[in-house]
Formats: sequence, structure tokens, C-alpha cells
Amino acid sequence: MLLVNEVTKKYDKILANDKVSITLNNGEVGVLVGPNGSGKSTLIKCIAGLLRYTGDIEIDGLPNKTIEAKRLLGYIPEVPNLYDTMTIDEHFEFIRRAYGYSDKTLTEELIERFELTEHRKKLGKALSKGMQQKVSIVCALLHDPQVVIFDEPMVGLDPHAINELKHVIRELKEKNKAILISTHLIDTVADIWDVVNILKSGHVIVTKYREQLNGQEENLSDLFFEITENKEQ
Amino acid sequence: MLSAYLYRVRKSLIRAPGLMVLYAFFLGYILFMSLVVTSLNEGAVRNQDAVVGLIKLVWFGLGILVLGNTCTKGSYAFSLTDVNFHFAGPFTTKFNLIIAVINSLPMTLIYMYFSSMLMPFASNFGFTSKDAILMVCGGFVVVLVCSIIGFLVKVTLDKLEKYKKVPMAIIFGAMALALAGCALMLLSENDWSIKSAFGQDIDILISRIGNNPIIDFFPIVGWPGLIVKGIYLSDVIFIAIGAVLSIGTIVAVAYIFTKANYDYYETAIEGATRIAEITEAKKANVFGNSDINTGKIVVGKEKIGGGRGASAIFYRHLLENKRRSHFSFININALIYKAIVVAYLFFMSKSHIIDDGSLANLAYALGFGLTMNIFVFSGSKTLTELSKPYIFLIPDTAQKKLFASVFADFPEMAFDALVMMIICMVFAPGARTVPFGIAIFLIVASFNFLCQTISILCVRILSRAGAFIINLLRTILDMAVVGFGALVGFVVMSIVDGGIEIVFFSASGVLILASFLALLASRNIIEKTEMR
Repeated sequence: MLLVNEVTKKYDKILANDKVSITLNNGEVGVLVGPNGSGKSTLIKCIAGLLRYTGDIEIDGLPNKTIEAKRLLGYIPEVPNLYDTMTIDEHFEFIRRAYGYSDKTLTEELIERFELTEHRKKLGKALSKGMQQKVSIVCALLHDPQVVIFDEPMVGLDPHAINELKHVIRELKEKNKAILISTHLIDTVADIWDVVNILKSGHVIVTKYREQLNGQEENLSDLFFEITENKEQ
Repeated sequence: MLSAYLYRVRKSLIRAPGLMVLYAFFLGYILFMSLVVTSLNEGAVRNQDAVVGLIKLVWFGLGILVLGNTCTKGSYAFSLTDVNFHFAGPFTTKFNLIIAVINSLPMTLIYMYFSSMLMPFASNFGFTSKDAILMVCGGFVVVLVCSIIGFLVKVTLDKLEKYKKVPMAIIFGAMALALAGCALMLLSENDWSIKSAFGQDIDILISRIGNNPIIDFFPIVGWPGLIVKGIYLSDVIFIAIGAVLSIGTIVAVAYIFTKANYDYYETAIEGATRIAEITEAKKANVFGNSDINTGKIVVGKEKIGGGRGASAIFYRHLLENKRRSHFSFININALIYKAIVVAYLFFMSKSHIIDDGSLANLAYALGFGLTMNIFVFSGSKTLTELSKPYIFLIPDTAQKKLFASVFADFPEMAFDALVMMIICMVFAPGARTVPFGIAIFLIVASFNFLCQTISILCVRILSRAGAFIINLLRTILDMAVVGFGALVGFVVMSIVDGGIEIVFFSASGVLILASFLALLASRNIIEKTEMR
């Protein structure tokens, strides 16, 4: 379970997140959507413990900066940031060691699914951005985290990888994990989301569950435009 | 096309007044030194051969450096923004190449700035303002022409994958042969006695090497020197040969440039991408970092090999070190800086600024060597880590993660101290005792450690400040601790009535203590600082 309570983040005078609160239960796929500069990535980075903020963030009831919480978290950054001098396999080895997770079964399965097998001996910097993104995804998932946060995960991925990632997300949901996805590509998450948080100017302006939509006539995209554009007017 | 470019340049300059001040400073320094060099040492007897030799060697060195760099790495004159807007925009390839030449002017200015630093030394053998202006203006042309030639060679060879390393081998092979030829000439003139050949005063060495026919006729970079030699010796033949060869080179380059349809964009993008990588890495690390890698990495049989939790960071660093060099304890940048220290000390001793055998040489060696080390060890692996998310995500305590990262630098620091110890002992024979050796090792190793920990502390304290403020604070703190350490050292020496090694031992103690205090104060940096 992921709990974000009144999180505020400022960059000098710019208020990126203003008392943002969201809750994501186990077995739910949450989506953070919003226009550019609405504070989605900042919030994701706060949850991952990369930024300072005020407010509370808990992962399965534990403050996000504790060791126990970190063990439960998987984070896929917006821009893949790999080590130049390490091969793909060595990235996985490093993460397994750092998380004290010795089982290689999940790693091997993910390598296969994201078609990384023939690239595993290549250096991080020798890969394309899309391939680096796949490596980032595997790094975040190979220690079997309870809460997974994705920052623009589909950007740069090929159609096969997007499809595979959606399958992985559904499987994580079935395993009762909490998944939070920040994206501005609304269509890519239209079929997997359970709860949507629409951010604008650092505020959550709407939180809505899938079952609250008006049946077939309203979809995530309609909801987004209806809310962001109406509010603007 | 031109108006769009000029508009962009004007806007960039307005937004970066600091850069303008810096360039103005470089230009001012060059002009100032050129104008006052005559009056720096009015009583000096003019050694015409040494003056000519120095000008030719400066051009030779600059030309080789620029040719070697551009032939292998391509041009650094394009940024990724140039690639996006100029290459894809309505600009011709020739126009874009002219822009590359204009973009390389600041770098050329920096080359000339460093060259002009030789002027006070050259005033000892009667170097005048006229010589200075000739050296600077000629050097400017040499650098520009060599950068274009090198870039065109690189573009041509990029299409021939097999021959990519050929120009590098030719340029540096030829340079090595030329220097070996000069050395043999010096030896043969001095009855094959190494001491007599290389023990001569620096102005004599410069005049003998600089006026050697090997340098005179060295392709491209040696030819302009022939004109200078001819002018000073009033020898029309030298002037004619030099002029024909040099002007011929420029005309040939201009002809190729205007007639040949060079498709150099791919090569330029390679250079622009490399610049972007370096810029990004430097941004993340606040200051110059030896951990930034832009070279080719070869994957061998090495493995992470160990670690669990935070200690995996330590083992990962060791693996990365092995990838950069076969010997993981060698920091290549530190070694290059040590070579500069050796060259500096050699130069100082040949100029009789320091005396052979004097213990005071130790102060020069250590002072210069340690100052250089600030640039190597301040940008530590820990600061590099702060630019990636993993150190924040790894489930272990902030302290353990910090220490695992910090200690990975120890082998490099220790090896650097060992090299510095050997250098000091070579240039200061008075320091060739076991206690002195240990004292030098300790002072260098502890200073390296101090540079790293003070940098971490500065980022911890001023994480939101800009690089300039952090660098300034870091330098002030480094110097303050070293000054305090020296003070403590002299007090201890006076109390125990010991030698200068007592100062080093005591100062090392202060530096180590200060380093651990800095580390202690920054122990929660990973919790309290944001990803850069």
C-alpha cells in the first residue's frame, strides 16, 4: 500500500507539489496524469526518496526513507540512468546484491520477456534509450517489490515492450502489489488503470476510480480533458 | 543564415556575462604579457636561437595536440543544439563548418593564454613584445588550421572503419620519432653523455631542439616555424620554403573545404554527443570529476565479485575502476597530473628557479602536486553516485552507503601518494630517507582524502547552491585545513625539536582528523540531499 499525505515540494520559489495526498491500495493500479509541469515526476521522485519534501509518504505503513520501505519499493525513472562501464547483466547482479536478493529466477524471466537476452553482455551506454528503459524496468522489478512506481514508463519503448509491460503490470496487480504510473500518454494506460489522480499546478484536482466513470460513454481521456480544460475555463 | 546565427550568438553572450568576463580576462592577459614581456627582464642578453626555438616548439606542441585531438575525437565545436537547429535547418554544410571555426575561437584563445604563460620565463633570454605578438598570432593560425585539417581527416577516416586509428598512430608515432631524433642529436653533440646532453641550461636545450631540422621540416606543424627562422636569420630560402609549404597547406585546406562536398554531420554529432555527456556528468558532479568516462570501455572477465547491501556499491566501484584501467588502483587523471608535476619540476630545475638537491624543491613539488590533486579527488565517486537514483533506493543505512562509496577511492589515493612520494624523492634528494618517504606518502594520501570529504561536506551543507559557491567553499576549506595542519606541524616540530618530516606527520594527523570530522558531519547526506 502507498500513502502520500500532504506532500509539499518547492524548488526555490516554484511550488511543484502543494499538499498532495493520494492513497493506493495493494492490488490497485494508480495513474498520475496531468499537463506538462503539473508536478507528476516530482511527486514520483519524492515517493522514491530522491527529493526532500514536507509531508508523509508511507510504503506498506513504513516511512519511505526507511530501509524496510526501500526494500519494498521498485522505481523506474523517467530517464534511464545506467552505469556506463557496467554490462546489463552486471546491473542486475549489482541490484540483486544491493537488495540482498539472491534468487535469479525473476531476473531471468524478465530478461526473456523484455527481449534483453542478446544484449546482456553489452555496456549500459552502448544501448539505445528504449533498451536502457527496459533495463531500468528489470532493475526495478527483479527484487520482487511490493510497491512499484513508474515515471513515464512507455516513453521510448517499442510496441512489443509496451505490450509486455502492460502484461507485467497486470500480473503485479494480480499478485496484490500496488502500482503507481505517472504518464501523459493517457491512451497507453487506458485499459489497466483502477484509480486516476489528475494533477494540475502541483495539486490533485480529481481522484476518480474506474467504477465511478459513466459506463462506456466516458473514458480516461475524456475525463482528463473534461477536467483540465473545464477547470481552466 | 548569418543573421540567425548572429542573433543566437548575441543572445547567448548577453545571458552569459561571466563567460565574456573570462574571455576578456584571457585576452587581456595575453595582451598584457605581450606588451610587458620586454620590460620584465631588461638586462637579459638576447639569445636569438632560443627565442626562435621557443616559438617553433610552442607552435609544434599546439599543432600536434590539436591535430591529435581532432583526428581521433572529431570536433568539439558543435553542440547538440547546433546539431538540432543548424544541421537540420536551412544552413549549408560549408556555413556550418565556418560556424565550427568560430565556435573553436574560445578554445584557441585558451591555448594562447596558456602559451603566453611562458613569456615571463622567455624574458630571461631576451624575448620581446614583437616575439610575443608573433608567437600568439602565429599560434592562433596554427591551432585553427590544424583543427580544420584534423577534423577533415577524421571525417574521411570515419568512412573507413579499419583505418580509424591510423592518424593517431601516425601523428604520435611521428612526434615520438621527432623527439627521439632530437634526443639523439643532442647526445651525439655531447659525446653520448646523457648528463652533458640534458644537463644544459633550458635556453640552450630549447634552441638546440627547436631549431633542429627535424622540427623545421615536420609536416604541417613545423613548416610555419621555417618562416620565423628565416625572418630572424634573414635567410630567404627558409622563408620561401616555409611560406610555400604553409600557405600551400592553407590553400589546399581551403580548396578541399570549398570544393569537396564533405558529409561531416555524423562525425560532428559524435563530438557533440560526447560534449553533452561530459556537460551532463559535470553538472551532476558539481566540479571536475575523474570519474567521468568518455573513453572506450572494454569488457573483460572481471566481475562485481562481492558485496551485499551498501557494500555492493564498493564492489561496483572496484569493477568500474578495473574497466577504466587494467590496474584498478590507478587514477589516469591523477597520473597525467603527476606527469605535469614532473615536467614543471624539470622545467623549474633547468631554469635554475629551484636548485638540484635542495630540500626546498620538496615544497615546490608538494605545493604544485597537491594543488593539482584538488581537481582529481574533489569530484569523488560519491558525488557521481548522487546523480543516479540507485544510492538513494538501496535498502541500507545512509552512513553505510556513504562509507561504501567513499572507501572505493582509497586505492587510487594511496597509489597517487606513492607516485608523489617517488617524485619528491627524485627532485629533493635531501628527502631520500624512510621517515621522509612515509611522511610524504601520508601527507599526500591524507590531503587526497581531505579533498574528497570536504567536497562531500560542501555538497551536504550547500546542496542547493550553484557549482561556483560550492567550489569556492571547498577550496577555502581545503586551504584552511592545510594551513592549520601546517601550523600545528611547525608547533610540534619546535616542541620536539625534530626535522621537517615531523611537520608532515603532524599535519597528516590534522588532515585525517579533519577528513573524518567532515565525513561525520556529512554522514546523512544521502538522506538529506536530493538527487542532482
